[in-house]
Amino acid sequence: MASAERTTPALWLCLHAPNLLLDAVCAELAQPDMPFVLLEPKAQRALVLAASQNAQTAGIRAGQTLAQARARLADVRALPRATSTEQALLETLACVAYQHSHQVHPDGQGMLLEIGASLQLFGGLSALLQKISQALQTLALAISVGLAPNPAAAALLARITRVGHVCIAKRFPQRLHPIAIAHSDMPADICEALANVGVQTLGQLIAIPRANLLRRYGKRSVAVLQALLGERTVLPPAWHPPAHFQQTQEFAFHVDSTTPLRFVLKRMLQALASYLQARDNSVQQMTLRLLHRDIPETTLSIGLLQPCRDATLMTHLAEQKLEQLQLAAAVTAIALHAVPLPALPCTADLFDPAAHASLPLPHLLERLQGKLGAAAIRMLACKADHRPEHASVDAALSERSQLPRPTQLPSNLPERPIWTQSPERIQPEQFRVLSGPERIESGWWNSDCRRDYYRVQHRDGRLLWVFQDHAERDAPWFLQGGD
Amino acid sequence: MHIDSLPYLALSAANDVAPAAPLALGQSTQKSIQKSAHKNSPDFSGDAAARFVWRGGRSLSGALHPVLSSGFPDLDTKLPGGGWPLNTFNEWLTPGHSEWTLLKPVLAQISARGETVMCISPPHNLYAPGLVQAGIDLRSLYVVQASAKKGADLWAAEQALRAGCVGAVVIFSRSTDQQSLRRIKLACESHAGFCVLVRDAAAAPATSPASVRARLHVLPSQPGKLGVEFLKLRGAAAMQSAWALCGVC
Repeated sequence: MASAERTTPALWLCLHAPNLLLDAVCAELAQPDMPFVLLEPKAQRALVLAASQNAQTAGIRAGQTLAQARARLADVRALPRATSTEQALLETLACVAYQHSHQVHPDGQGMLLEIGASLQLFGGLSALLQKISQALQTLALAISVGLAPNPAAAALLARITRVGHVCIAKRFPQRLHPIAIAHSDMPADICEALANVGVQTLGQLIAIPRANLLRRYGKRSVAVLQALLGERTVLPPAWHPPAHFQQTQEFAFHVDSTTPLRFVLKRMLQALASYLQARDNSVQQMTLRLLHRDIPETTLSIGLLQPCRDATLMTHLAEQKLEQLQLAAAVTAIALHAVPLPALPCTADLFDPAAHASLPLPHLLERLQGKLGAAAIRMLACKADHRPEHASVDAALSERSQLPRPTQLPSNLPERPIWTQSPERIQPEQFRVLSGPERIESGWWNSDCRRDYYRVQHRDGRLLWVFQDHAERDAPWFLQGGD
Repeated sequence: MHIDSLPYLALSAANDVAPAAPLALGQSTQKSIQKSAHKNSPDFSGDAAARFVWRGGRSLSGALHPVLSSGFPDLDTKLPGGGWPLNTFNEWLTPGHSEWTLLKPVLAQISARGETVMCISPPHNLYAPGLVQAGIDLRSLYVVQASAKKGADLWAAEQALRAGCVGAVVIFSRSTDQQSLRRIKLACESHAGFCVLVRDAAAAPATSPASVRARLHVLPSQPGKLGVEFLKLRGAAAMQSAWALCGVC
């Protein structure tokens, strides 16, 4: 019995984004194939933080000054790093990670998550990795993955792996032996000192007796080694999804058409969908704010008929909203805010005849309403009132809850027409009576009403619903409806 | 039934047979087609030749077209398969009224199955008690008001058809945009429900991609009856009479 309750061994996965700075800028770049370097905004010295692929080919490296970079490639563009986008990307990465693990720790440009406890739920390691890579596909972020029994080793393996690859430490700690010490978290001065005595790889480092290491190179060197071997676990603070979803994107340049906005918005809504998935929540109302330089911001409220967490549907609706929008001025920033609702109500019916539909009815109605306007889709209901004008009410789809509840019509009610209009005069010679009269007399407090209704056929063949108004002099005839 | 008595028709690429088809069949064969189509019974699967014979009321693959009774026995006998065809594009040409005489029984059946009915741009204000008396469930009836400008009404119809979750789509449109109408026809074929375009009879001479085109007539000589003339009827072997009379009152 005791063996059945054995806890699963810890297994740590590191999702590392080596090109985070470049990816964040590339997402909003008009010409991504131009060589560029990233600089810290408002820094004293213009030091290159990262260089694009084609700038690297020209010999530009991180750490050079801008002047050095320009000397190597004259027309290289200097851009500020997009800190808010980097933050948003990491936030989305955390949301994706949180869907697969209860323990998520942001670590620099990566995300550490414990997956040992999740393996059984997701059906094994390869199924879980497949699922994570699928979830990451919507994210425009280059990721390398490391897998090891402790977080420090997982992070190290992720750092030395190429983008798009997974490095799994099948034999641990032997997998660490060939790795250069310089790749680990070892402080640079200790690395240099070790290199001077010919210790280059972690394997050589592990072979040195601990007491000697401690005496010669101090506590820091032993701490790094202990973390890598899993003897001591040091973890950055854990991450939990925030209570509200809030993302802001500032533009480096002023946007005066909605096309680039759609692009950014799509990414934001994908982040929102990941966030909702992670929290097992849904959303029914979102606010999109477009910030301008001089005039007050434009606020777009995007409402859904039903709580939802589907990125495709939300994107479709938001794009329809944007299409209808006339930009008052250039946009400098865009912000999306959503308050999650407790949970997604389960509305799917196993035996629903429309379940095979390619688009479920609520989504169809959202789509029609989004394009045609909120008042375009209407529903009808009967109201218990014997004045014909008040017996039928209609309301827009969003206000359908205000319609009267469906009631049984009186079984002795004479036949009613399919459509009605406001009464207009008609001459009695133009039709022949099919049935009637039906006397309707009521509502004197509202309008004096004393009418005899007939179903008639007009000379041109129309089936009509007419009445003779006895409240007026000469009892004129009126046409009110028909089939 | 012997295979000798079956009407043989040449296999044609198009499934539509115009009223003036060169092959005219006698009254008796016409009846036998309808009878067999109703019963879905004639079993000559053993005969290899039968697979190469196209018979009225069936698609080229040999399956019967699903139909929906029109609610008028006289009309049903004239329609191949015994009713309005589903998952095709129907078109009714009206003198500006009387379409609800034909619509009421159709929508009542769809509604009784619990399926959704969508009315796109009806020209009048629909009246709830009348619809309920006709047997239409108001909880599954959606009225979409879309202007004909920029083709919003046909766009809405296409979306509803493509979604596949709507049992009946009734389009009231004056649009003559051939391209949009063809798109509607394509959407109808992927849609399992009923779709009809109600138009003014003035559009009768124009070409139309609809599979069934029925023109509604008011007959001065027969008050209380509605005449239905078929301008085009897919799946009909040939039409003895392109007319049907429906009692309206």
